[in-house]
Amino acid sequence: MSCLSYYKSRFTRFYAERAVAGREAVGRAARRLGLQTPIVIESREELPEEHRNEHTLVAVPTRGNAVDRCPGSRGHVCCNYLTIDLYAGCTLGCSYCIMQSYRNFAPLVVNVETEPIIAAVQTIAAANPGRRIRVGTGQIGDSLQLDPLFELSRELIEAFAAEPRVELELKTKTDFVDHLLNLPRKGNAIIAFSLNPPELVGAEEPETASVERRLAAAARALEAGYRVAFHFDPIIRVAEWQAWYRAVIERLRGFPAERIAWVSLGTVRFTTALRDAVPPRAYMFDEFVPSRDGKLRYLQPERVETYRYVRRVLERAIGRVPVYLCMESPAVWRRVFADRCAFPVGSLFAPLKLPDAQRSSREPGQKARDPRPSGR
Amino acid sequence: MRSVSELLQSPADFDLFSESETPDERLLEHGVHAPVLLWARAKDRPVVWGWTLLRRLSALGIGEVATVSVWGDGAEALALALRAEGRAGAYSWDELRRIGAGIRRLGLTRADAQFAELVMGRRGSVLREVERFEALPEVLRTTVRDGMLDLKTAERGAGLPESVLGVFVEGAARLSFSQRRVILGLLYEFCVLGGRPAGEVIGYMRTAFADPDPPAALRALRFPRLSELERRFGEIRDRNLSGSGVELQPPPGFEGSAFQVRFGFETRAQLLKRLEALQKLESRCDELFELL
Repeated sequence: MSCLSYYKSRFTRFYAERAVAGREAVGRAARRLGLQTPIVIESREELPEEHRNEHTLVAVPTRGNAVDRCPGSRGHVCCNYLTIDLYAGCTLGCSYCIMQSYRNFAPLVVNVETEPIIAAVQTIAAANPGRRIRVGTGQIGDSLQLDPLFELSRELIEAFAAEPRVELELKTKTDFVDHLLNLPRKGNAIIAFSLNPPELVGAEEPETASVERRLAAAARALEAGYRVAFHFDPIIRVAEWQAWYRAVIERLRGFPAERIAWVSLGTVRFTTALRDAVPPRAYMFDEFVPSRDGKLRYLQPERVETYRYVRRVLERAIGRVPVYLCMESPAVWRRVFADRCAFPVGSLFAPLKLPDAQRSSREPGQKARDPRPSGR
Repeated sequence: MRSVSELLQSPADFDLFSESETPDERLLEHGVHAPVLLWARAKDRPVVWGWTLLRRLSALGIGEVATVSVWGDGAEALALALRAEGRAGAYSWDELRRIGAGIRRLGLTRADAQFAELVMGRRGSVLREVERFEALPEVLRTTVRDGMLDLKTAERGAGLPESVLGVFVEGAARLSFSQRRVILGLLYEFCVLGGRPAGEVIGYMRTAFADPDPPAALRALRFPRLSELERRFGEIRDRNLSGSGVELQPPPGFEGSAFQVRFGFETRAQLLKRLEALQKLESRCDELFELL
C-alpha cells in the first residue's frame, strides 16, 4: 500500500483550527487526503465527542513551549534530549506504548506552525555555545507516520541545516522516508529507526513497517546523505531474546559505523495502568520490580546483562558507535559501561541552558548523578 | 390501626430488607416501634416500609399496628422506605439485589443515581454496583457476600478458572483480607497474564496454603529470580553479620547501587564487635554487589 492510500484508509476526518487552516501544510495534507479543505474549527475543544478517535487528524498552532526537555524519568539518567511535539498521537498500536493506557484520548494532533519551533531551537543553540543540541520529534508520536502528508520535517531539516550544532532526529517505526531523500541541504538531520526482532514486531507492533522495510528505508536515507540512528527500545526478554536480537543486529552489518549517529538501548518498562489497559501480554508475566519512577522494569542484574549483551553484539556487527541507555538508572549505566562510556558523556550530561521562555515544568528533575564509572 | 395479617397480604414490591433484631422484642410487645408506611397513591396501598416489623409482630401474636399513609410517586416512596430503614452503606448484597430489582420494577432505572447516597452512602449507581456483583461467578459472589473479598478485588478473580477459584476459596477462609487480595492478584498474574494451566496454578496454591505465610510462598513461586536474590542476600547477611548487632538492607527490589547498614552501641566492646563484623563483610562485599 502506498503512503497516500494508507492515509485515506486510516483517516476519515481532518480538522484544522482557524489560526492554521490557511497554511500550506494544511492545504497539502487536505489535497493528499482527497479533500477540498479541512473542517475549520475555532479550537480542538469543539471536536465532536464521536470524532475524538484515531481516525481524526487535527491541525493546530504551537501552544506552550515549542521545544521542551524530554520528560525523562525520575531517578534516571537524563541525556539532555530536547523534544518537539510536532505529531502528537500515533496509530501504530504498539502494545508497550504508554499511550495505550489512555486510548480514549485519540485524535492525532499535528502542530503545523514550525516557525516558533525553529526560533526556539535557534535560541537554545545560541544560549549554549559549543554544545550539541539533540532534538527530536518522536517523543509522543512517530516522527514520520504522518510526515508525507504534511511535510513538516522538511521545514525543520532545511531550517536547521544552517545550525551545525543542532542534531535533529526523526524517529520512526515506518519506512516513510522517501519524501525527504531529495532535500538539497540536510544538515545534521538524523533519521532514526526503532528496531526489534521481526517476531516481536509481528506480535507487539501491529501496524508498523516490517524490520526489512525499516532497514531498507535506513539504507535509502544513508544513500541520500543522512546519518542514521537505531533504537533498540523496548528490548523484550522473551525466551529466545539473545538469538533474536543478535539476528536483527547482524542485519546492520552493511551500515558504516561513522554514519550511525547513535544507538540507544532500553528494556521494556511500563506502568501498572498500561498493564491493566492492554489485553494480557505474555511478556508482562516476566519478573518486574518497581523502579524509582514507579514504572515496572526487569530486575537490575537482568537489565545489565541485556545491555551488555546487546552492546557486545552491536560492537561485533558494526564496530564502535555511540551507545546510550534510555531512561536507566545511574547504577545500571555504571555496570554496563564499567569499562568505558561509549557516548561522549561529558557533553551529554551537563544540563543545557534553556532560555526563560523555554523553561517549563520539565526542568531536569532527575538529579541523577553522572553515571560514568566510579573508582570501584 | 390496621390488621397485621391483612397488611402482610398486600403487594410486596417494597419488601426489600432482611429480617432485623431491632427493636427489641419487649419494646414491640409494648407497641414501641415506628409506624408502618403505606403508599397512598397506589391502588392496593402497599406497604412501603415495615415488612420485617410486620412479620415479627405477627410472630409475637400482635394483631394490629399503627400506619401512616405517604403520598408521592414511586421514587419518593422508595426514598422514604430507604430513609425509614436508615442503613445507608450497610445493606447486605442480597438486600442490594432486592433494592436494585425494586428500582427496575418501579421504572426508576434512569433515576437510579438519586438513591446512591441512601443505599450505598456515597455517590454512584446502585444498579451498576448490583450488575457488577451479579456478573461475578457464583463462587466469588459467595466470597463477596460473606465479606471475604471486596467487589473490586473479586472482579480481578472473575477471569480465573472455576477450579482455581474453588481451591482459593477453600484456603482463603483462614487468611486476612489483605492476604486474600495479594493471593488473588498473584493468581490473576499466573492465569490471565501468564496463561498458566489451571492444574499448575492449583499446585502452586496448595504449596502456598501449606506454608505458614501463604502470600509470601505464592510470591516466591511467581517471582523465583527475585526470591533467589532475596535468599542469597539473607544468606550473605546471616553468614557475616549474624549476632553482630549490625542491620544490613539491600536497595528496594535490588534496584540501585547502595546497601545500607545500621547499628547502635553503648560500649566500646559493642562498637568493636560491630566494626569487626563490618570488616568481615567488607572482605566479602563482592558477593553483595553481584546481587545488583
